[in-house]
Amino acid sequence: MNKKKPVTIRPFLQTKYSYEKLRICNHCKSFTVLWEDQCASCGKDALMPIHTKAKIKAKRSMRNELLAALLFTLVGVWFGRDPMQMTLCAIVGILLILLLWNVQRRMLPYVIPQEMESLIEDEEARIIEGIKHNRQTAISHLQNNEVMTYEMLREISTLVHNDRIRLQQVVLLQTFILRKDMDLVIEPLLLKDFDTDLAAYIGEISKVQRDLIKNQTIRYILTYEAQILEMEHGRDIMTGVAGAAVRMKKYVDSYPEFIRRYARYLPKDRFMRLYQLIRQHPEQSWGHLAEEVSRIHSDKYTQG
Amino acid sequence: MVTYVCLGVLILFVSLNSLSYISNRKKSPSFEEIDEQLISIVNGEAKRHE
Repeated sequence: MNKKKPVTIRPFLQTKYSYEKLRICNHCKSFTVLWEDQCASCGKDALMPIHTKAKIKAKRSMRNELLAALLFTLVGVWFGRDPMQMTLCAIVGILLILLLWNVQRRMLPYVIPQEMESLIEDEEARIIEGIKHNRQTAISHLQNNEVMTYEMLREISTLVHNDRIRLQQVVLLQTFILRKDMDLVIEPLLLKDFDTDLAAYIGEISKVQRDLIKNQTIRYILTYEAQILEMEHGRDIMTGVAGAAVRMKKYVDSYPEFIRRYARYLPKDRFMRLYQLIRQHPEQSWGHLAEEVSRIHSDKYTQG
Repeated sequence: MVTYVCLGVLILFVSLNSLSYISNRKKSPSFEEIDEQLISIVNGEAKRHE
């Protein structure tokens, strides 16, 4: 029955900005978000982040301005009528070149984003084409290497935000045996609508990496609670999430009624965590949760 | 005469370039804006195809 495979997923390199994943080939100008060393279009070893490309462009333009200023200075010196005029022209020219160089140096951090903006605007079609090509590459590995496909889709999804790519990742993740040491995520994969694979994935995550269960995930399973409960292991999924939620007081504060509904099914360690949390804060208003927890405690854990 | 013309042109060139850098400084987008722009381009096109 269990067709899940043990796999090793390479860690995901998180960047502060999504654009940091995008690279341009300096030779053929095609774009990629994947990690290949050589450009998939021309085969050249010329891929660079768009920030680097913009910096090179900005510096080249600044260098050309300095060269133009130098040329004016040299022409002025060349046509000087006497040494006095030539010296004056050389001194003024050098001072102006230094002034321009200083302004350029100070303004470089502001020029680079402008260059990046114009690069993105000018190369819009190539960027979209590059990402389409990346998706085709990812799908082409589906038959022989599902892990590779998942890893590629994960990279692409830093820029492509839609339910289709999220669902493709969830479906692939559901074919893997998930472990504590894997670099997994939930919130970027949450769909707009209900999906059984996603619900099952959340249930598994609540067991192996409960730190990933946060507000958005709790809200998702609460929105589709009725559909989840219709699933074969629906109650286990809800209980798993409730068990993960009790790790932090803020979630118990925010969702006391949800936790109350599943408190009876919590494993002993999760229940005792909830019990201790409530006991440590007697002043807190928990609704019916405190009564229910106290009742379960006396029913299940105080006998013998 | 040519020397003075060159110096004049140079002064004008450096002044205009410096002013252009300083005035464009305020128009420089933040990295967050660049990120949003890129994501909207990529996803805008994707939505049109879906």
